[in-house]
Amino acid sequence: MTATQLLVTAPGIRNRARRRWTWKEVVFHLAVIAILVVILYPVAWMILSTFKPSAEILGNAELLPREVTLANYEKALGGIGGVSFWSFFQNSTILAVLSVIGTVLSSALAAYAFARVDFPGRTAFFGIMIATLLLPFHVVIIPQYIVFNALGMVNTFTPLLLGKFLATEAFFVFLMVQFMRGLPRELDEAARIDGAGHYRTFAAIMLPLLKPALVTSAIFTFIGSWNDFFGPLLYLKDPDLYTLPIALRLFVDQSSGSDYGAQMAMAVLALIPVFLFFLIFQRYLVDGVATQGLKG
Amino acid sequence: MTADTLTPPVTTPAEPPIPQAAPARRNRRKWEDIRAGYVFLAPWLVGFLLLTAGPMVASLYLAFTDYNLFTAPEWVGFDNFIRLWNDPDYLKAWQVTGVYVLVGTPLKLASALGVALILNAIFRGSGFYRSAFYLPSLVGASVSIAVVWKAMFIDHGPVDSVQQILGFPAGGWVGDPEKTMPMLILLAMWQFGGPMVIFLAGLKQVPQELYEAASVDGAGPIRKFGAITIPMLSPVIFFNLLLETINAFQVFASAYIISGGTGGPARSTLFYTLYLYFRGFRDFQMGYASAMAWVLVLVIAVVTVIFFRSSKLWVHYAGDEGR
Amino acid sequence: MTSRAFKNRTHRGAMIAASILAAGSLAILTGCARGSAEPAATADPDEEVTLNFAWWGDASRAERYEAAIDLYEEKNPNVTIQTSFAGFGDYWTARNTEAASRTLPDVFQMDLAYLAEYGGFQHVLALDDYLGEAISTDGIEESLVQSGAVDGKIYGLASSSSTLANFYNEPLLSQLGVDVPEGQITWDEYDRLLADVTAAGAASSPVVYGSLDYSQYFWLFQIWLGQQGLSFIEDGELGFDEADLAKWWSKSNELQAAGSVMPPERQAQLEGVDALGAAEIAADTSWANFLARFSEGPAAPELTLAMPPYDEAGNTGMFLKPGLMLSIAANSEHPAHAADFIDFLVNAPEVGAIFGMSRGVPASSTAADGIEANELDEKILAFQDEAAQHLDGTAPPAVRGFGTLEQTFVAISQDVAYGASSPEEAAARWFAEAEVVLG
Repeated sequence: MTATQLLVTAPGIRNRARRRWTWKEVVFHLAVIAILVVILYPVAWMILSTFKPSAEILGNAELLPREVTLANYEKALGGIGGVSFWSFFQNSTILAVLSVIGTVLSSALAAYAFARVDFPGRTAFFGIMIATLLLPFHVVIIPQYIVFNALGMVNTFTPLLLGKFLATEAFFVFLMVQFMRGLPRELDEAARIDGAGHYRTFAAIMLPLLKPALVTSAIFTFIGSWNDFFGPLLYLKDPDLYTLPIALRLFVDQSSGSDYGAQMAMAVLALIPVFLFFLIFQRYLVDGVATQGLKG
Repeated sequence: MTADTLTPPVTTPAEPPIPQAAPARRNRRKWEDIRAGYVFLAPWLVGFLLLTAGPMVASLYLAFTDYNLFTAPEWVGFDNFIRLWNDPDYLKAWQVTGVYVLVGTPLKLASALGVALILNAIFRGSGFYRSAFYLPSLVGASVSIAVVWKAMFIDHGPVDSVQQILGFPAGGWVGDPEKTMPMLILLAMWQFGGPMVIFLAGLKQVPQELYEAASVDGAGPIRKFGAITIPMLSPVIFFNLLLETINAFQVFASAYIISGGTGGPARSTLFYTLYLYFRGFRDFQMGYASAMAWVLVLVIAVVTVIFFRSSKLWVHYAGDEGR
Repeated sequence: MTSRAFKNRTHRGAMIAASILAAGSLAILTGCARGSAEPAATADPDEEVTLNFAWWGDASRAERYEAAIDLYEEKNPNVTIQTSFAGFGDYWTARNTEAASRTLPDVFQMDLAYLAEYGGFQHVLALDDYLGEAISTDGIEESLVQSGAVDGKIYGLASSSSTLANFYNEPLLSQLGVDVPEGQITWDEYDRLLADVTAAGAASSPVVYGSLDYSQYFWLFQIWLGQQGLSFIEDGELGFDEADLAKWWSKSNELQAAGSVMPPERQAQLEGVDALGAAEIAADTSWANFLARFSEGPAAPELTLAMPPYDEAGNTGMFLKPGLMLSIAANSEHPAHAADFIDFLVNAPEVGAIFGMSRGVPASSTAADGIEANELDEKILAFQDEAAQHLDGTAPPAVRGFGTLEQTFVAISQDVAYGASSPEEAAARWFAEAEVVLG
């Protein structure tokens, strides 16, 4: 099999992986690794720079530290203004996990309604949902803040989570709608004939088949929440509630001195959970699709 | 992924004719559908009414006012929109954003598709490779990307070294207003992880039989790519293209972070939403900023409609076969 | 459950939701001006009070404030202070959002850039009733107190003051064979000095320049205006014209042509590092209290402070810039307690000791007395004393749009530095912006 053939066809059978390495495969893998090296160079630079003293980081792009130091990590782990690193970490984690749960569930529910249920107003609502993607968030922030303030929810996690549980992220609803439309209606019909209503069809048939979409949404939501700083900036006043992105921005401030070393160290530490999350869940992205009975 | 896209108004597949045993049964099913529909949609509806609709309407209203955040908004009619037209910074913002959308989006998708194709062909250590290729998108979303990315582009940095080897004139890209856009486009391309993951899922859904049948017919790899992969992937390409374009119009975080919140140097990173943010939050001209926002909505809406209309020409809905 | 009943339920649900959003929208749309807080009363020492307090700054400032707050809570056990802090840009995004919803913290740091908006629109209280009583101003220079005024009333009290200074890296100058300036230096002499440094420093690695393009310094421009007998704002309008601004910005072209200053490309690459601290320039103009920050730069330079350039004796244009002002929110429910807290932050010697010179020279002499000055602090204080004899200018008054004017000045001056705009075009653009902003 030539390399190009490998590229354009989908790999099918698993046991191909157990054959011995062919020369073509080795070359292919080496080529891919070469590409990876180029692509990941900035990441490598970032990680190595966290071991450089701050002065060495700016204004020069050398890869290896001339002087290795752990000072940046000490500062990052030391927290800010009496709030510990673990506090930031914990807050970020709580928000991210809850965001994932809320988004995945509510988006799947809404997507099912759009994709599988015929009811009046569906088209209009779908159009409205797409329209919500178009407005830049800055102009709705202040009215939203006023609403949340009126509800007494400022300085809690609620404003950051409520929307997630109410499917306000149209991107994921749309994504799941697209996936669902690719699943043949015969499955629904079959379930109906067996006596299942919409609720059972959704839970027992749709959700399992939606795994790639659910996992994609989970990963994107986790990352989005983990890195979100605008929402936490506006709604979290108490430093004990601060999340990692807010803490990160505190290290670099034009009005006082900037500490890029500590910021990068904290950023690297903040990368680890999100990378692990991806590592764990990425196989579900492609699993479950090739093996499901899509041929009906 | 065999997905058919939704072009409003949607045409639902016709119900197969049911023996008219009892009209009541059909009615009951219809009410069940309506009820179920609204029950499933309820969270979204509540979210929309409570959190989105009001603020959207409010921001539309504000677009026609002079609002400085401190006092009540004052109605000014179309003044904001007229002022936009004569604002050199506003036109600059369109230019900057336009280049980013037109050049950056296709390049980003191309790199995402390229990497997805590579990953699709690997089965040994696929998990490792997938995660490795996704790493840039994780780093790119972090606040530290500013320092990291700039470090790549300063004098004697890696990019400078490469360009000297290739025979281009030496010199870092940072601080050169003309090189700032290429720098940002490369940053966008570097964060191909998101669309890549979606492409990958789509690629996995292309049935093997199609490739096997094509092999039997004697088709080569290029032919297979053009005749099978691309058409089967077209709904995913459509999805990614549409959403990445919308994202590109609205890009804020990377522009803000890389320019340090200034839109510089020399306004080369004055993206639309960044300028909007300046006007709204820094200059207390929230009415003007709202007007800007709604012009953007209009433009993106037009682009979206064009996308949907054009999709009929090039998007292949496998589910519609035989109709 | 019949479908009709269900439809009614969704209708009702929709109505409730719609009413909530309508109420929210109404609040925005009318932006009802609530009544101002209760008239000033003295702080009741027995009342259990929680005050919200916000500031901008980095981690070290956060630590200092927390220490000061702990001290205050010890002395006032009935008061609990809830803190909040962020970087400068983020801080104002958050405050502006709170202003729109009238939920500002009881006490918060204020900057001259936004004083006119917050004060002029009555989002912060006029402090006049408290000054001299709950808030002691004995140790604060009157002009500094007045610098927090908008329309004749004081809306923010400065906790520190800054003076602009020239910094010279004398060892580096000697090394390059350039004479170290003494006493008064005129603008021409200064420009020549910078050109000499760049010429001598071209051979060094990294290349050493005279200074950064100082036509981008908004506050140096203020001083220069004062020296020309002009003022930034006069009776709510600009006190100078386009030609003056174009003249100032044409210095950029002159400086770059003479090769006296670091090219903007290199300056952009150094972002995040102080060029003076990295010893890539031998002189610079900045706030005197930044001495510590520059001295701690990568090259650990030995810096001396001197007056910025001026051509005639007795016409220096120098003034004290109010720094880290403190204001009380108009929506505060405990203004008297807030005032007492401000008095503590501004005047207490213990707070002076905690902060040292990190926020500038303390506005209040009582706070300044508490400082245990180290060598660098001594230099700053010495310079401040010397400059005090030459203060013949005034700080620009707070005016609406000040923040925007300052930021567009910096942005447009960059265009000039890059040659993207001629000084005349740039001046025209800034004036067009000023017209919109000042109304």
